[in-house]
Amino acid sequence: MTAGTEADWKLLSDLLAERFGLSFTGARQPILAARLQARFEALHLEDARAYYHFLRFHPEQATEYEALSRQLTNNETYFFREPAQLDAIADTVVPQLAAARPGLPIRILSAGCSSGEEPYSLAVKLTDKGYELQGVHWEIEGCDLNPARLAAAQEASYEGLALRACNETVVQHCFHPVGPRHQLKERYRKHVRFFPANLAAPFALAGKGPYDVILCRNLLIYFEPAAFDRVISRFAALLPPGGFLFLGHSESLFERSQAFEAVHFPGTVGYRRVEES
Amino acid sequence: MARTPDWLRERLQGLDEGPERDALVLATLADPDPAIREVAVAWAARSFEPGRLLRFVGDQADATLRNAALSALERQGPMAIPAVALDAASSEPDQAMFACQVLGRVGGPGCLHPLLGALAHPDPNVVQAAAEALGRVGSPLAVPALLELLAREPWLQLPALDALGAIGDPTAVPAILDLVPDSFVARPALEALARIGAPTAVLRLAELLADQHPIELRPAMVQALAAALEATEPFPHLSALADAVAADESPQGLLAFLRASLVVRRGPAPPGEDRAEGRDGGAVARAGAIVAIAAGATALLPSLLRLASEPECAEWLLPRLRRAAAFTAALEDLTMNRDPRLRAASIAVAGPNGLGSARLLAALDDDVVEVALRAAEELVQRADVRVLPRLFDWLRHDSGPGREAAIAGLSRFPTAVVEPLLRPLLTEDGTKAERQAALAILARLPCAGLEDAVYASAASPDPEIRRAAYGAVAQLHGSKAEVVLLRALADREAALQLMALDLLVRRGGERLVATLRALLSTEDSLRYHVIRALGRLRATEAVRALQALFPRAPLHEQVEVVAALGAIGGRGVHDFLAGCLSHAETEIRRAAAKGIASNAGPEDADLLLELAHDRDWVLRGEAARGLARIDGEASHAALLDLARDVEPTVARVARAVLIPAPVP
Repeated sequence: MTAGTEADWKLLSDLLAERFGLSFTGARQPILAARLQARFEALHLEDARAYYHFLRFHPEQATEYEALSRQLTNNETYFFREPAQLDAIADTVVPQLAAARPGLPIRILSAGCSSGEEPYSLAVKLTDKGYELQGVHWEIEGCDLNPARLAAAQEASYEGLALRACNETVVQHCFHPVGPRHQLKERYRKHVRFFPANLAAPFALAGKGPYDVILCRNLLIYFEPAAFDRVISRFAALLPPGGFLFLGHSESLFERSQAFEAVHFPGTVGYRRVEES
Repeated sequence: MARTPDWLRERLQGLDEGPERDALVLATLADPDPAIREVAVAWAARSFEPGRLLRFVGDQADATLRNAALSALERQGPMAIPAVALDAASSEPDQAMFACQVLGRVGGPGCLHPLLGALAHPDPNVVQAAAEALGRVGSPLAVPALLELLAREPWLQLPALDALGAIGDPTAVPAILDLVPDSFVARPALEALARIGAPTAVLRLAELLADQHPIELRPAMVQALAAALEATEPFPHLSALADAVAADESPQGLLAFLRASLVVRRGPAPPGEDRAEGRDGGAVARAGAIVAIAAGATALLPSLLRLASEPECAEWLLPRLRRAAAFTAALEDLTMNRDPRLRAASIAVAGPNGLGSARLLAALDDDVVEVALRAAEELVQRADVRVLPRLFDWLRHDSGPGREAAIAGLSRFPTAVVEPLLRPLLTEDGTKAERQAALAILARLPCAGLEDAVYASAASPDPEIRRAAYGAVAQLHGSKAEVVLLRALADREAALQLMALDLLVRRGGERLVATLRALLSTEDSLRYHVIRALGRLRATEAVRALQALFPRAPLHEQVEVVAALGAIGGRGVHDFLAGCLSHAETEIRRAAAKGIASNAGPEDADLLLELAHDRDWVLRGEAARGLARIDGEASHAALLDLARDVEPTVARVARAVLIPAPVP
């Protein structure tokens, strides 16, 4: 069903790279074809060129881009994923920043937050550390391209798979059971806000920040190299010297950015914003 | 501005052919940034003659420049072959070796003779490179020369075996079998045999496996034997192997080895796990299963049935198990095993004569739905009407796989049996779900006696009922069905309009094109799809209407009009498409070029040769597709040039024309 010549797929993937910064060339093309199958069927289109034309010219292109963003970024995640980074932020980074700038709130961005599991996991860690009682204030913002995922994040109601890394004690501690689902308790939600953002768009995150910590994990692996570099530059502009950026385990800034230096934490690596030379 | 790949690409595109562009290419060809180098390589392939690139290949001092030149020569494709072939005969070993590597990567029959000549080079590194390259070229004409290498040093035997495996010519099998099991290259020889997969290897490999030759060779031997067996239908009876499997039940024995292989290992292999034993998406399990079936190893039947329950294995394993007569007697007991996977799989394997109907009817009451579904499927295969009550029950009361199975199963019985069952469901007494299910069956099995009920459902106020009914209407013959579907083009639901359009296009019909042509004068969202449908139908009668629509249509429809006319083709649209090549909108030019390329004949040669030099890569790609349809020196020369295009997509199109892929 998802047919098309190599040229058709290249036109389409170039358009998606320009729009979303996502790379679907080479070995990733079958992934794109599989994800688009449902869109082709919904629109009664039979090949990649027809879909490309639809996205370029059809009066309903805006609606379709929104549906497409849901299709392309439907990446499921879960609470307390890659916990070493969450521990590094909660145990080391936040106390350091709080000591360096007493009285000022610590601002954290979870970029590509999906349905909120990552920012809420961090909120649980920071709340349970009791920082507020010590006068350390913090706030977390989450952003994502996919409006459906953001709506789910606002709901903060989760099913079993999202809790796969939580044992029964943690589930009882953090959630209220609501039928077969689990509602995150209000005390872990009150410092977390969400907003929509396409990180690849030219003015993504304009008017946002500055932040002290940015998490952007397991998202940039899908970006083409130029878009990757643009997003990293944007993060660098949003972080003051001494601020931290955390990427996924398979993502690295090695030889890619002069604006950051690697810092080792137990079981993980973060990137500290350096002073401009 | 910083030196980035985009910067270089834009600079090069802005420069005319000449010394300034060449200098920039040369200055960046050995750039430390691989992404910049990649752009420079593409332009070097485009701008430099092969002889100039070959001089860089000889540069001993700068390995980066040499590798970039090799990549550029490879990208030049067939155009580079004559010059590179001369280097392959060079007495200078490095020059000859690199030339062989380039020839192997370019491929095609033109590379064969220079590479065969290089097999006689005095330097073994050149011979090795030539053998590897011959494997990539894939021509059976290289087999005799490669077989001669099997008598030489092990480091030449290895590339020769790899090449023979890649070529896949069965005439190489006897000589390769001679290297198993007692030679330094026994494992690579088995790997080559696995790639060749020739029936002539079966008996000897089965004998070797039965003889318990070095245990380390077992995985490769099973893979090679399985590949050979897969080319041999039906499997021969391998009595010696069957005896060997049955005789040794020790943990190191063949039986234990095969049993361990009959598991799909998913995910990445853990560190230290032998790749041949490892997680390879089921290839090891498949090989083990093929050998176990050929050996008739009844002791392995439970493991085989569990494997057949894996979604990715059922399709290839179930038919083979059904044909294995040696297992028939053991299946009856397994239909009552405690493991539901064994019960379901044994029913699926037993086939028409394997199990009594009483056993299958009893299995309809199994607690596990998959077992009951399997039994029902088998009873449907036998056209046993005793399954009908159960299917009808599932149709009415199940909402999951039971209903799906009922729809599929009931559709396979004669209309005389099914019609009376469905009739009450299509009346007011039937629930909505029952009515939808009945219509889904009628979309597969038209029943003349229920036509009125189907037409009545097509007029239902409920869109979901109409959706199901339209599918059933499309199966009915006659003009009334066509009229109903044509009326459905004006359904209140836009999604159902599109469904009706799809059904009409698939169904065809005398009035279809005339109706669609008339719909071109309406200005609603359906027109976009109507234009596309006329293209899919290749409706020559609609050419004038489409051309007349073009000037007044919005842009998104204009693009589709050009695409539809391109699909329709014929001389009637040629001038229109040619005129669109000068349109201001790039996508209209591209759609027009696609149409011209798809229908190109000798009279289009000049136009396509012009498109071959267009700044837009899509148009150059279409030129390559079109020129492929035209014989002649000019089109061949243009294709050679396009095969080194800076845009790899264009180069690949041209290269695919010039060097057809070897037949496996």
